[in-house]
Amino acid sequence: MAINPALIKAYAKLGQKGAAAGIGMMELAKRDPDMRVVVADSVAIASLDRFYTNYPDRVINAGISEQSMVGIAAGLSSEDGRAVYACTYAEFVVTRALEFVRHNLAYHNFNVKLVGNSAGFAMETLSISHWATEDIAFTRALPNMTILSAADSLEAIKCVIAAHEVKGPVYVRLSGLLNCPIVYDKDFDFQVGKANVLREGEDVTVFATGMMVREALDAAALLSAQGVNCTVIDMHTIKPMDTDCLDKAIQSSKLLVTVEEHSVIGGLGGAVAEYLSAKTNTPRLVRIGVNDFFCKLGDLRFCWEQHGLTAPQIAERITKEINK
Amino acid sequence: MNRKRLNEEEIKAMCKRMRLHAMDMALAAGSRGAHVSGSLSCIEIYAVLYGAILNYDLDNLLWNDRDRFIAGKEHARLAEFPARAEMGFYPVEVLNSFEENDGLLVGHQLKREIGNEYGSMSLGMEMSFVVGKAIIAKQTQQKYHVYCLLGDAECEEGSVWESFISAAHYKLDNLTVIIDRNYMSVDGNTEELMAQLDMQKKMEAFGWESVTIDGHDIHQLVEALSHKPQGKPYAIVAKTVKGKGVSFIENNRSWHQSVLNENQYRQAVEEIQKG
Repeated sequence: MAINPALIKAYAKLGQKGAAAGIGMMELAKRDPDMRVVVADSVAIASLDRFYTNYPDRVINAGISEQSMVGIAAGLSSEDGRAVYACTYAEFVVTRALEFVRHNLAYHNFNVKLVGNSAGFAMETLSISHWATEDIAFTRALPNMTILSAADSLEAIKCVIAAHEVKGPVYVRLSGLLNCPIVYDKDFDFQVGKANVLREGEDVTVFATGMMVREALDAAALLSAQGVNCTVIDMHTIKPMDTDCLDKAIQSSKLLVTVEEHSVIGGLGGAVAEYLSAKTNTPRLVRIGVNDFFCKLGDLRFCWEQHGLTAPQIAERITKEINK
Repeated sequence: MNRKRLNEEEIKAMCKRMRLHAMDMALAAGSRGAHVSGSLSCIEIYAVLYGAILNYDLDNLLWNDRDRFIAGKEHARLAEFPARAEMGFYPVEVLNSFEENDGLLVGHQLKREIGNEYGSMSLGMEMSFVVGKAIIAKQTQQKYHVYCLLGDAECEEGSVWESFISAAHYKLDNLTVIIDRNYMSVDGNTEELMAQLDMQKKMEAFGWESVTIDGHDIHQLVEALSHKPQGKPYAIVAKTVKGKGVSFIENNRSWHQSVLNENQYRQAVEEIQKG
């Protein structure tokens, strides 16, 4: 698969789900003719038009029935362990179908990959019913689940491909809109369970995931101008957690910060807090994310602003916290 | 293929033994209780499936061409496990370990080596799994047929109907569903609580081939289950009596999940032996 700066710009235009489906899934289809894709009237929603045109027999449409979609995916995989991808909005593939996910993926460990797109507030004014802001919490509590969360379009491609290499259930969380801001402007090494350090600074370590990686990097640039130096880490794997990188941060930083477009309860911040709770003499942890209320309805930035998730707000919060 | 094929008389005798095994298992379950009545309604269905219909090989229970049976209303294990024991999947004595901690027959586990092709239990969970299994069986040109048993009240779960739609849409004529129409759920009579009406008509309206039979009549069961549909999935609505064979359990809602005491056990065994 070709990766160069021009292509990275092209992938960014497609958004995370467009790149994941149009590039990543197409690549997988070439490598693995046994792979199947299940949708719930979501060929278009999951940007799978090109995939469907090329491989119509490999796409099974369950109709608008996400529970059935996940059950069918399990049945398809049950005989020979083939990889089956179930693709639609994050909110529906996880929350609507949660019992089917728990039973078939977590318990029976079928080789099913959930690809949830438009997580966080990306569904904008379709609002609460289409926002996925607790999906990591739900899936993280389930045994056997691997959870990947992409920071940009190139990483989204790498996530769906990496999910295929994991033998067992995976939830790939995609977020953002078309023209997804670039985090990785050149090819990079993606390993499940190994976080990527994108910037190093001795004062604060910021663990970010999804669309918040770009915001955290921009916040770090603002802070650097004020003399506060941040390490910024892309936590593309939420489960299993990269505890080595956490241990390093515990030893070297004065303040730990998590940033996610997800509830501050049960997501990346929750996972880090759980890890720290068993340690002694750890730096303070500030969890930035979706706070415990449903915000006013509107576009992506409007929602982010209400929860303090834009780069300037993140920088301001870190400044305040570091001076406490 | 190492497998006995039973005639109708032999199946009738097997049903009697299965009911006795069910009582033994219920007694052994003790204070935990067991799903007695819902098991007794589908004894004949299980006996005919394992005695006369399903292809399997006792020398190789993982034989690729074995028919796939997936149990819905999976709490009816007092019918399911004795059927497999009777046909030689495991010794009848193994039934004594029913619900033992970490045992072979505890809970709802996926154990293909003893015939458990899936572990569903949560009602409405299995139909979509079955549809996926039947789709991939067609795509990979498998010889086996896929069977699934559902409870009638289980069909109150919406997910079942989602998958009924898909099964017809994908023309899954390698799929047969048996609905145990015992007219009862935990709280009582289905037609009073949540009327299912004419289930054959419903299935036909959903694009399935369907038939209604007496689910305790061995001959009707053999005939219906021997039929292979063409171009459509196939649903057998098997009218049954919940608790069939034991007078004080029949149509008595308090026996959905209940504790069988020694006296009740003796009376039940007596009735089954006479019946």
